[in-house]
Amino acid sequence: MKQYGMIINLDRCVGCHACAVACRAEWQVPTREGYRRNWVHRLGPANTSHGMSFTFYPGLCNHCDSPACVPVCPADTVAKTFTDPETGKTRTMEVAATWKDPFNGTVQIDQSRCLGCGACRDACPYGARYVNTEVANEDIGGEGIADKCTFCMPRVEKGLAPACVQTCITDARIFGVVNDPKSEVAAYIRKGARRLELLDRTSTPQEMPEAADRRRMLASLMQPAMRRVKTAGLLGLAGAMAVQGLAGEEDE
Amino acid sequence: MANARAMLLVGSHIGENIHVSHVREFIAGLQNGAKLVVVDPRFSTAAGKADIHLAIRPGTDTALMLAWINYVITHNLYDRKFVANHCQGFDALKKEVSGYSMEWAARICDLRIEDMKAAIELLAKASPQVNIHPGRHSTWYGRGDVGRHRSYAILTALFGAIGVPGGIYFPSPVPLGHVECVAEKSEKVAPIEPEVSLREDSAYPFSSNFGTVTADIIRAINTGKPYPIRLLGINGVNVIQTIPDPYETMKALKSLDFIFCEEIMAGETAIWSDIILPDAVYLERYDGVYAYDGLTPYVTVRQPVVEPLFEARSPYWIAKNLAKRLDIPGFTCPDERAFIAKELEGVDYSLSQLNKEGGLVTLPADPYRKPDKLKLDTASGKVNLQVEDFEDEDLDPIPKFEPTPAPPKGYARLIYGRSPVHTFSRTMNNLWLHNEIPENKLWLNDRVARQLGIKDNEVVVLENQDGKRSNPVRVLVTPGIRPDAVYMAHGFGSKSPLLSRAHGKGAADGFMMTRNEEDPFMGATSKRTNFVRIILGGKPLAIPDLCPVPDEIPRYTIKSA
Repeated sequence: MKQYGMIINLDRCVGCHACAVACRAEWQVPTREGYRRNWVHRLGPANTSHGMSFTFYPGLCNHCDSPACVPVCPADTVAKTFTDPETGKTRTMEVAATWKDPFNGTVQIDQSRCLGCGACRDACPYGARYVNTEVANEDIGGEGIADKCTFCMPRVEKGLAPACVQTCITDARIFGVVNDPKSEVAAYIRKGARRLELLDRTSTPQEMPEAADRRRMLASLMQPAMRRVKTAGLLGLAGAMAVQGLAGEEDE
Repeated sequence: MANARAMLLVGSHIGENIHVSHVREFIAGLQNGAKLVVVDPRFSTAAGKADIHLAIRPGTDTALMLAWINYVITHNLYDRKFVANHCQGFDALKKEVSGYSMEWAARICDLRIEDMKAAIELLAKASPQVNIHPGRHSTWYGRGDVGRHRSYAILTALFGAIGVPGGIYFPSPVPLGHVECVAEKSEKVAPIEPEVSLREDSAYPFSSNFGTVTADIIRAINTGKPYPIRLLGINGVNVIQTIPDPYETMKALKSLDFIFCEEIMAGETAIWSDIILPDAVYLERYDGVYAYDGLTPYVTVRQPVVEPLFEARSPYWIAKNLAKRLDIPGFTCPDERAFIAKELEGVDYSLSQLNKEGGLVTLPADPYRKPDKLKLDTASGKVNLQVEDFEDEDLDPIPKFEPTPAPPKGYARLIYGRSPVHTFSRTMNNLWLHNEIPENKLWLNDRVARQLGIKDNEVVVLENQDGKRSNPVRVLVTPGIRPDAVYMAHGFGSKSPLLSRAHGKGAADGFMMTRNEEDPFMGATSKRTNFVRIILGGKPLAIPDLCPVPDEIPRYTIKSA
């Protein structure tokens, strides 16, 4: 299985929010409270054990290995056939209204079958989903429609980069296939990029375990304050999202 | 910056100040391994990426710079060959700065000597690939601003960082065709030439090269001197938000007979205008050819992607039709496209050819100079470490440190900067941008907040030294600002109810700026010479004095009512 992933290089990020705005523009995400697929949290300035830090958490769905949002979906399951665009191979799975794609690793929603119950939103430890209550599938008694980052698959299928990647002014977002050794994403992981892990829930920056100075800040991050705390260990976050820790930062 | 091996930013907050190509260069430099020193009373985004952050006492930057210059000279950290061949005035400089020791500067600037030394050594080690960027919005204290900027340039020259990669580079001029907007002055409506010109007869000896001093215009409206001004036309500037001391500006606007503006936003200035000419937004209009003369010279043209909505018209159309109705002939081009075509002739392009090549063409750059080819645009062709033209005007030929007054007891200095998602005061009402950052926050030192009992996110009001009060603003409690200063991003706190989202959200820094000094060289207005205290629940709270002020720095005293 191919797994799409995104590196966010925090050393490059200046917290300009262009990613969040580009995403909202591309997918016409309404501006109501909590409605977002893509966000920037501004963290600090605050003291950490490595000195003062002021950094940003540009976030989106992690397209987890074992997504907490998928098994909680109460929609009736249907048989869905997935096709690998490269090999033409197909695979049929019983899926509810949300699933993890067996060929590209992304977590997707069938919005036409979503009940808008909010179970997936509540299950996500990152606050990556919201339920748009301005729309609903009334024919099935829906109360809203869940929405989240699709890794811009409709764009990627056309050969484009995700909107947030294309717009990033400092090229801090790098998108590609995690398990393709030739990808830039894989190169970052070899250099020491780390997965996003929920180490703590706090509104101030925490340092990465082996980060050596204050430029190497911050992979472990807050959750949005409105979310319930989840235990990281139970979730098996494989997350496609890795945050560069720069353990292997080159120095002349 | 991408080629620098070390960078120095003094109060420049690139990263929050989103000048896109500059931010890209800055990040490229850091990714290439450049060291970064940030001097700022605040822990900015740039400070968060710095190797050394010096949280300097506001108003003492020139003291640090002069002590560094002295240190570089006395410790032989300067480029002797460059100074010998390409600088004049070195001996005078050496003598002038000899009194500025690191010990003295440490006390004045409230910094540790070890940190100051580490920073200057770090910069010196990278020379000549040292980038000392002056930043933007850098008129802070009036009197000393030009000297402060010159001290950056002097240090740059001592490092030999001129005409070399990573240092100051030479522009690569783009030879656009020259088009006169109006061919000849109308004989029907001949302007009355006043005996005294605001621009030419300014009290500031070097201002006329840059235009008319804004504060002079406001003063002239309010005093009627040197001549009365009865009408104002304003093009795309919200003067009430952008010019310090909006109370004087508002007084001036009220006294006029007629104001018209060309605008896209119903900001304060627009709603005070008699007539608003609706401007086309950037997606609806052509602008003149944009030519960039930096490291990657290029030519491009802003072009409409949609027709203007409603009654909006392009600036060129508006100007031309105003002229027509005033019976002023002489516009040289029928429309913008013809104007652009003439400009593009200079680089042998037509608009359709430019568009065929993607809408942007790059040109060769010539930014660097070999030592034997290095010639500056000065009489001697060298770097003037000492400027005689300044001496002729009774201004310091070599920068001196003259302290700006420290905050009065119970007050903190107000510092302002930019929000990364917003542009001046013009985007706060944009649905998407407002949604990202709807209001500014008052950065307040955590120790000060603790002593005052103010919690993070609590809403306070500011009162400045002249008793002017701000809109309510939320507090960001942080160790990332010195106790003797508070900070907020500019452009918020709109007073225009027609900006339905932005109205009343956050506080406007400009409305706290009633005490301004103009620099004696060009008349640039100081923007860090105002002091505020906090009003919580209607009660004034005195900012505790956590940073003792040395005797050399006077405190500002508040005139008692």
